[in-house]
Amino acid sequence: MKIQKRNFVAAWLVLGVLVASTAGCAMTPVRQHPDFASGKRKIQVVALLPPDVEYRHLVFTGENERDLPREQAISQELASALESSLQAKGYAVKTDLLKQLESGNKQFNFDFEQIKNAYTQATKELYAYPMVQVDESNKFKVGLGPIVNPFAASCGADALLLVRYGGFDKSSGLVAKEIVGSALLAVLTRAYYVPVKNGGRIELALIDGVTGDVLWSNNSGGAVAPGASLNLAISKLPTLPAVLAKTDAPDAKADSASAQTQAATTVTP
Amino acid sequence: MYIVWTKFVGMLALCGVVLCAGCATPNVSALTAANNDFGQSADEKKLLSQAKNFRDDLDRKGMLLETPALLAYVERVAHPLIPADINGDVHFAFHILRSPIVNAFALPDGNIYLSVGLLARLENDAELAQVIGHEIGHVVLRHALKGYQTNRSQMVAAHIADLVLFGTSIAYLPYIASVASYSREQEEEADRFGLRAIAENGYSLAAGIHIFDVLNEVKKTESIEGSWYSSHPSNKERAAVLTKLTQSGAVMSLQPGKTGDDTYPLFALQLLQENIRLKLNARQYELAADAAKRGLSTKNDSPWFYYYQGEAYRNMAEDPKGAAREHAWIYGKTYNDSLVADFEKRKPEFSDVAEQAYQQALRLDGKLVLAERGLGLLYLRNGNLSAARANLTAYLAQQADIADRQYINHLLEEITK
Repeated sequence: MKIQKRNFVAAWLVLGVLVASTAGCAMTPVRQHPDFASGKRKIQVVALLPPDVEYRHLVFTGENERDLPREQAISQELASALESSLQAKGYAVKTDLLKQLESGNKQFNFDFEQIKNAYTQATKELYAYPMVQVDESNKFKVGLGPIVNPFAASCGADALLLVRYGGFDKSSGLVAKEIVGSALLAVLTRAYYVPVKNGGRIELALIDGVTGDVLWSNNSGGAVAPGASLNLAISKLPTLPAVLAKTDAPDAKADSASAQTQAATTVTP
Repeated sequence: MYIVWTKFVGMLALCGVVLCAGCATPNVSALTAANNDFGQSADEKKLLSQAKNFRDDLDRKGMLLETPALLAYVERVAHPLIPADINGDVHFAFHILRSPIVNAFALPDGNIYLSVGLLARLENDAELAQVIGHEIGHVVLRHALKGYQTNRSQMVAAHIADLVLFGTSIAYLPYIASVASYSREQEEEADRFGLRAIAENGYSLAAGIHIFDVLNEVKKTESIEGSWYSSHPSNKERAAVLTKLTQSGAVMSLQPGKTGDDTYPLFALQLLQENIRLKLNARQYELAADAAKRGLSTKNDSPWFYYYQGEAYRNMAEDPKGAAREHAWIYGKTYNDSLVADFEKRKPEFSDVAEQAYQQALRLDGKLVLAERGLGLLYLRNGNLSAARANLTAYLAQQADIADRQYINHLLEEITK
């Protein structure tokens, strides 16, 4: 009985040490540029870049296919949800660039591809580790370069919001196959997994329209709908500071040029 | 005991039959055959539909280079290589892909794509003809359909997994893997097709085969691993096979000395510049510096190649992490703090090379305002603010439509502060 009591106390001690040691180590997928985190770079007007969506229908035979109508629907859903979310956080939102992609302007579309590629490069630096400690998350000085300038300038935005979403759903045949696989695994090892039918992952990045610096980025994913992933990811974007939030949105849009000058306060060529 | 062994052997035989069933070569005739049923089967319809989606996607994304003179030149070389006796609704079309990767590929609908990275590597019309002839061979021999029916998509996932390329997360890669990935035998068959096509069009076969030597010089990372254009040892083997074919007299050129009508060199420098721009966009600084050096070895009084050399080295000085990452990728090294530290140490060296290159560009062409920009950014990075201000101001003053005016103005404001 004494031994049992001693074990119980030891277990609580170990648990206490674990809690104490991990309390200061909360991890996050969020990345922030120090100037944005400190409020030095103020962003008021955000232009949405066309969401880059890839959605695949996975089938039993492995002949997976992109689901283009679904991609278009998700793209529209994300753009609309982002507009509302950003407005709710006090930002003025520009949607001009969303239409540009469909206008058949090939140079615009090519430049947009270059921006996406540049961001892919930047993620190697930003997400060398998927999660970092919260204290470390606001020390990321990574940029795409002035390639973004014409995009932001064309619609008078302080920053651009880049959105990428990759998702999938599975045919019932594939799900059935996975259930059988899971059952076999359970029989053999007493461990099992629950096959998911669909899922996806979203990445968001707020990019300074002047310097091309990645000011803020986050990602989220799982076996949830695109909108749910988006809500989770965007919820971590800081709201516009109270003073700026009181600014009337239309005025903020009209005064975008001066806002941009105010926003840029550091040299990061 | 005998019964057990019999059962075991029987099982083995059954497994063999099942496995081989998937390896049977499908009976697909070439487009030059009468009654070839092109586009009739569900499989081929699917491939053609994918090819069309791919074409539309590339076009929409602005990935196709629209330089009329260059396209006209490619078509002039390509069209005589297409067999006259094609049966089927195939429309050959040739496109130039804005990609720095050394690659070319054919889709089953007759659309053939040549990357800027590949075109910039060629030396004459005969080499271009060999490449195009090879790709036409894939279409005429219907390799996509054969490959699809043989492999289905088991190979596709593996291919896509391999295609982790530095700075080239290009949308077209999965398409290539699914619609235009061919077996070694098919590649060799297309090689022979290409060689016969250039022979019939009177090109020098030796010049055509020389493409393999050119490709052997390509760094492994500049091409797609596993593609015909990767700097694989088999390039040498293939050259040897084709050379043997010519020596045996099985394929003979009508005009053994002809390398073309010397049109290629007219476009060579333009292509090389476009290739360097694409490499810089993809943060391939070291490869861009190599390409600029190649340009200067051809034309040492070109202000543009000096400018690009400056850009490549300035970026290496400004972005040592990026430069280290690229270096690791090119040479298969491990990217770590020690490699980054090496590149940090070399910043002054890179800055010096960049400064000299920009200055030489301006000496050769005082109106090359981009070199002023480069110098301005370099001086700003090095803390020489007055020189930076002078160069950046000169850059803004000389040209009205500057894409990054806002950014440069921002920098000038910071310098003033």
